[in-house]
Amino acid sequence: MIPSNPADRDVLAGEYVLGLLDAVAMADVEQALRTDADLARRVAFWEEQLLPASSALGKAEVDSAQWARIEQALATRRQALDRSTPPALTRSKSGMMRAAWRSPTLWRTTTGLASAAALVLAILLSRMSAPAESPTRYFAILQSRDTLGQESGPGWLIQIAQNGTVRSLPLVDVQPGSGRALQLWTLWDQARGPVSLGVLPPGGAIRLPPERLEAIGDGQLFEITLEPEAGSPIGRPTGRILFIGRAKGAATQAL
Amino acid sequence: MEPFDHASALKGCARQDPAALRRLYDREAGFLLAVALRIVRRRDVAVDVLHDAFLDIWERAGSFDSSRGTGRAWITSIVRYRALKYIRAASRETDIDAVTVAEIVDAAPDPFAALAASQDGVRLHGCLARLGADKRQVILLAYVDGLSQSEIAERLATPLGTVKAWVRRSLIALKDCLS
Repeated sequence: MIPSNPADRDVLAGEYVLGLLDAVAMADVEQALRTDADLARRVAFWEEQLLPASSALGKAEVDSAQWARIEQALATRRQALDRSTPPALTRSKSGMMRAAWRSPTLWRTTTGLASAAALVLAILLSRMSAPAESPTRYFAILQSRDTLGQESGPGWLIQIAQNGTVRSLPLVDVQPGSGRALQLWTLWDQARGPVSLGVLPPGGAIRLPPERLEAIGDGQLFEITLEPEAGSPIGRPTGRILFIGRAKGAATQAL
Repeated sequence: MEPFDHASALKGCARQDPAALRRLYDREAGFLLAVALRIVRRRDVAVDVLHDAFLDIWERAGSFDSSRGTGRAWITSIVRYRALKYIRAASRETDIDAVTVAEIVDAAPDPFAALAASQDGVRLHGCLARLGADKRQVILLAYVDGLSQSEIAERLATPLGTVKAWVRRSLIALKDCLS
């Protein structure tokens, strides 16, 4: 809950900046900051006023190879962006648009539309010989996992197209429960840890734009975890793994 | 140090100009690494935090609003939140004991003393000085060292409820003093 009293809002903003909120309260503030300009100003006040205490720490020596690593990561992202033609909605290359794609609010408001659109598209595709979609490069069949961590058969299908589009197709019905959501992750670099591909809409079926996926290869791990509604507040999985599996390159043979 | 226009470098990043990110990096990487290092306490992790933070800066530069604050505060916050998220997740997994935390914190330079010597820190130093030693320490252990409230409580051998009350009172007093 975000308080309305100015003093309480200042304290909340201050606790957020100091890093003293628990994961749930922190996620609440992050969510509120997207729309609450007053709270954002109060947060910015603390960030600005406390900055000298950070500056007073001086400088640490940076390894000269570090910039090259950043540059390489940027190049990979740009390449992912330039690959093929993404669907119209994701066409914009502006940072704002991509930032907006990460916003759970937008996700929630558009997912209804998107799943309706996907349904219509699926019907259209089955009725007419539309131009072929980008061919599938990889599949990952994720196995369901019960509360004891035992695998109990295939539960989810992840399909990665040649152009990097990721499709998430549930094979079972899952209700994450109120205030909870399913979040899709992939792991290709143990050192970096799982990277979020996004919070899944109710039902779980969605097509993700190519820029979501930074890397794909044989054996790459995909998993779906149970997270707070706005997604994991810490950028890595916090809840239990519901589905897990590895990608496998599709045979190139035509039907 | 020469003046540097962080806001225009961030605008450059928003226009997808890699040279703008490079300018920010050349100017601030050493300082930002020190911020991350102080919180995560491990060089290899701090290096990863810095890496991810620069990718964040690149991607989110379009949402930077110069009417709310300076570019330098904005990028520093990105690094701090990344570092804090890492340390909170790590402490849930490994449970660093209080003694280790105390040792690490004791060995690090005192930010309050450093603030007195820094040019832009005079006002914050003055306001922190008015808080009194315990409350000041709570703020700095959280902000600079990234300790959680329960870690601070253990560190200062003070009940958690007292620490929480100190945080609240200190923030209200600081807001008043700094505004």
